Amino acid sequence: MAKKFLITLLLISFLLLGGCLDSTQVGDTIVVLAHGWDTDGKTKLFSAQMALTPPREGEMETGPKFMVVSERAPSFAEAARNLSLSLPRLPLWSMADTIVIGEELARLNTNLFTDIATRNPRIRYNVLLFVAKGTTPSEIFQVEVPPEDYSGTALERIIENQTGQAGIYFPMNMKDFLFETSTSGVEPSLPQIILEGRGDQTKLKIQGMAVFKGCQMVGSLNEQQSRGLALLKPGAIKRTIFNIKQPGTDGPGILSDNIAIELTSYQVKAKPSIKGKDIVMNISIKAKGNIIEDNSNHNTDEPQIAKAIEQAAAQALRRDIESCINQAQALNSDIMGWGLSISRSHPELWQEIEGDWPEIFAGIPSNIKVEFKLIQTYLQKDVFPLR
Amino acid sequence: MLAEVSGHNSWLTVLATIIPGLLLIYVYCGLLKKSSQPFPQMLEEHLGIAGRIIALFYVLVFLLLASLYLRFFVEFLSITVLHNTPTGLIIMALLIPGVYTIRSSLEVFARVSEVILWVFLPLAMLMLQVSSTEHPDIGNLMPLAFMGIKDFIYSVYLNLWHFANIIIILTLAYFSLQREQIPRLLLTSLVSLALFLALSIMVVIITLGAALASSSTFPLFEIARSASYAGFIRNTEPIFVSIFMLGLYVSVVSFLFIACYSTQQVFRLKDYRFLAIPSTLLVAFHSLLIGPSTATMFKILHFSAPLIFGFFFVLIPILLYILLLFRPHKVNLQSGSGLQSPET
Repeated sequence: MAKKFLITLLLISFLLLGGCLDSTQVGDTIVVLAHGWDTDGKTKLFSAQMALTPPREGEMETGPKFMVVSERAPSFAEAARNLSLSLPRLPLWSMADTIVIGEELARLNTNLFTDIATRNPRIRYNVLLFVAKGTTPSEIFQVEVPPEDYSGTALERIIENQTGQAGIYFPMNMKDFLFETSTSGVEPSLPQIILEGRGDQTKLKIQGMAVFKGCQMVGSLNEQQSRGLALLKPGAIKRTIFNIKQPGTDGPGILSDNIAIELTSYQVKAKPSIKGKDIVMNISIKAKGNIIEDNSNHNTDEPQIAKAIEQAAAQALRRDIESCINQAQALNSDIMGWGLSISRSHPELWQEIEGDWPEIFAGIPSNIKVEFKLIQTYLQKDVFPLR
Repeated sequence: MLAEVSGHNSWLTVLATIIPGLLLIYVYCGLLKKSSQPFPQMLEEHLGIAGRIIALFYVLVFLLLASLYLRFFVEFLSITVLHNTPTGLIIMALLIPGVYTIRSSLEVFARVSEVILWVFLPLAMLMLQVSSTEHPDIGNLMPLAFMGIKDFIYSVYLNLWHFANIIIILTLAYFSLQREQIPRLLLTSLVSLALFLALSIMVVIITLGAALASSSTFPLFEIARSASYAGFIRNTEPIFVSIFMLGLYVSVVSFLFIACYSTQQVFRLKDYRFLAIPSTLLVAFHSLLIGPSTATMFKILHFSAPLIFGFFFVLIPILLYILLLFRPHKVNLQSGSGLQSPET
């Protein structure tokens, strides 16, 4: 009897707990869509885009869909907590899928945010990272990106969608960024966001990749160089579009010489060739693609023409890659991960050269081989037959 | 912790630990053959009064290990998902069923553990499989087996005390109906434990890389946190925590049971079950007092635990086995025949 009484008492006592002690009612919370980390040189600036409660069914939607809040403090943790001084709800930080880093912070010191990124259990490793170029995270969060309700969510969709459309940039999540920051022989790069236009016409756009060296942003890659970098990273993009001139035409290109090629798949291998202390990077790319727009007047049915187009396409891809390598070497930042590749294939050599790697990297020659295969011409066998 | 020492080759060191693990199994099986009494009574059987004193130390060591596992579990929960829940409540949540299990008998614990294994394994494998799809890089495992011999030996040493937890077989074997199958069972346990651990570490290294894995407090939790099922089911780490909780329950209760049973043996008590509540209270308080912070806790796990448990679980059994090789002992096969439960 006493045993049954004890068990009953124990079971009833669990009701007093009311679930976990840190439980929170949904009505007391607000969903965080994106965080912004920046600095003014003296303090850290923390901003967040938060979703406002949508109208109930049948109600007209009139008010704003989101709010942007900002705070400054010596640490991001304190700035985020200080939001509670003006925010009546508890922010759900772990719901955020995007983090935008201000250019000033990126150029100053990435260690100012990597610690909170790894220490804080409310920040996930799969959150996407961007650098706000020439603007602030807070300004980016203010921009409306129809048909999306929130720029934080829009950024995630834009970067994901473009990997199969324009195919210039690749998404970088927190885990990949931290991996490249903490592993020797590779440096991180992040997509940059800029603001275009003024007032209501302001729109955000991904433009270039921020290049880091050690714990600082040291420069950027342009569109061509960014595509080159994406091509050097297996699976970074799904498709991309690039233009070549009609084979055999010299001089400045005119619109009627243009052929647009869609790259549909690629395989890349980067292997160091080492003789003594002489290092050469052998890069081999095998790509496939289609003609998606052809304004020229040649006959792509002919094998020689098709071959010439393939060679021109390979040349164009090679130019992108070379341009990326030149810029990375100029910035002294091994964003391609050549050092990592050497450390994996020649660990003894890596132990010797690791300390001097930035200087060695800048002078490493590369041997780039690109093979391009034309697969389809879509619904048109040849150029459109004009009368 | 292991990744700090052996980096991307941590998983290989786990596999390499199978070799000293086999030696350990050989020693344990040898001790079982040469002893009439279950552990720790076998110490008294072979060493007399000195053995009884050593057995008393073993009681403390088992209690210490149960506290250590419990504290690790509390740290894990309070850091990862239950940030504001008082540690006392977390401890109660684990120990109340633990006390109930110990008081219910060894058979109940064995059956519960069996069920837990079949729940734990598929969920753990699913979690590892899903986590490994998040931007994995198999190249993170390269260069294969490139590490200093000193780091390699230290890593194997760090792993060995975990493997040596199978010392509880020295007690449990005497309640088995099929003692002749114990060596095969131990071998299976050792290999499956090594494979599972190596696989888990491999997934962590492939997903996070050695540098991130070594700096992270709970790297397995990190990869579970970033796992995404079918691209949209996220935030599933509480499931991972639940799996972990089941495993920890078995670890803590195993050593609590052995501590209670050893106390009964050392002090010639009639039963061990009434010791469940006082032992549990000791473990609960000790788990709180064991260290003031998480950092201290990890230092204990890194430096003190391998030393203490290596001494008691590896060195003493080996020394005892060597002693018995030179001092033949008549074994009473009637005693501890496997037909009697520890409750009788």
